[in-house]
Amino acid sequence: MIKILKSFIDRIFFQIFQRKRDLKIGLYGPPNGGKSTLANKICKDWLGEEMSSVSKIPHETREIRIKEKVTVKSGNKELTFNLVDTPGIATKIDYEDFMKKGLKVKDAKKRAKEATKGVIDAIKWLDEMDVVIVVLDSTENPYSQVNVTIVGNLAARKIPVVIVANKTDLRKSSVKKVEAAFPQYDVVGISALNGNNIEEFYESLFNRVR
Amino acid sequence: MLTLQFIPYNDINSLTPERRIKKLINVVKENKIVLMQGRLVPEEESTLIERTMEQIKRSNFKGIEICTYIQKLIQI
Repeated sequence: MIKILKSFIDRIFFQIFQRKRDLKIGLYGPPNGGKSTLANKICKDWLGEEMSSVSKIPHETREIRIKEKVTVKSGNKELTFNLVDTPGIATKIDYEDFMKKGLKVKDAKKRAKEATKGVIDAIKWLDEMDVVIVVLDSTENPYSQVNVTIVGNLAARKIPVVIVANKTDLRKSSVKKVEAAFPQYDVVGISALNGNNIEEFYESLFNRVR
Repeated sequence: MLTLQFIPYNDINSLTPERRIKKLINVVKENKIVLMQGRLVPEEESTLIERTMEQIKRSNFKGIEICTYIQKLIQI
């Protein structure tokens, strides 16, 4: 009897705790897909300030960044969440690649070391997410193993997903290729840089959360 | 010289996910291309990436490339 009562109380507490927990929306994807650019766009649109620094050198975001209490409105709907910008997930990190982008040996090695930790942290944080926005560069081949692994992990964890085919402002962009690679998901083509189609993205986000 | 090492499904099937991943990384670190029969589940793939990153941090190892080939069964 005591056991049953304890289990009942635990369940009630768990449910209350679950309800009170803030909604976390994570930005995931390979490096240089535009996660931080999209994070900045969302924050600029709704908070009036940017969140992360961006760079053409991969692995600019090397630690988890959180913007709390972002409220997005679409029509008469409103959604408040904590936005989590994560480091790009990669299967290899070579400091010499950073040197090719102009970094000195010491800085390149430091960046590589921080980037490896960032990848590990990003993967560990997956379990914390309520919804994930997978940000892909629509000018690149969408069938990369990193993309497949990220989406596969989200499916295995039953985390709702919105796939963003970013960089539609570029000539080589192909949203259709991304859609063909992930036919079972909501794919929204946007340009986080100049805001193209961002309204449809917010709409898609609302549909995933509810 | 490029070396290809084939790992049959039976060789890794009975291993725990951690040991399976360790085995794969150890072979790759010998500069070999691994051809594995069967595939890792998504959680194992993410663990493989995590362990790879840990190895990069510790040594001169630069990482891995993964490619999965799934053969569709065609019923005639």
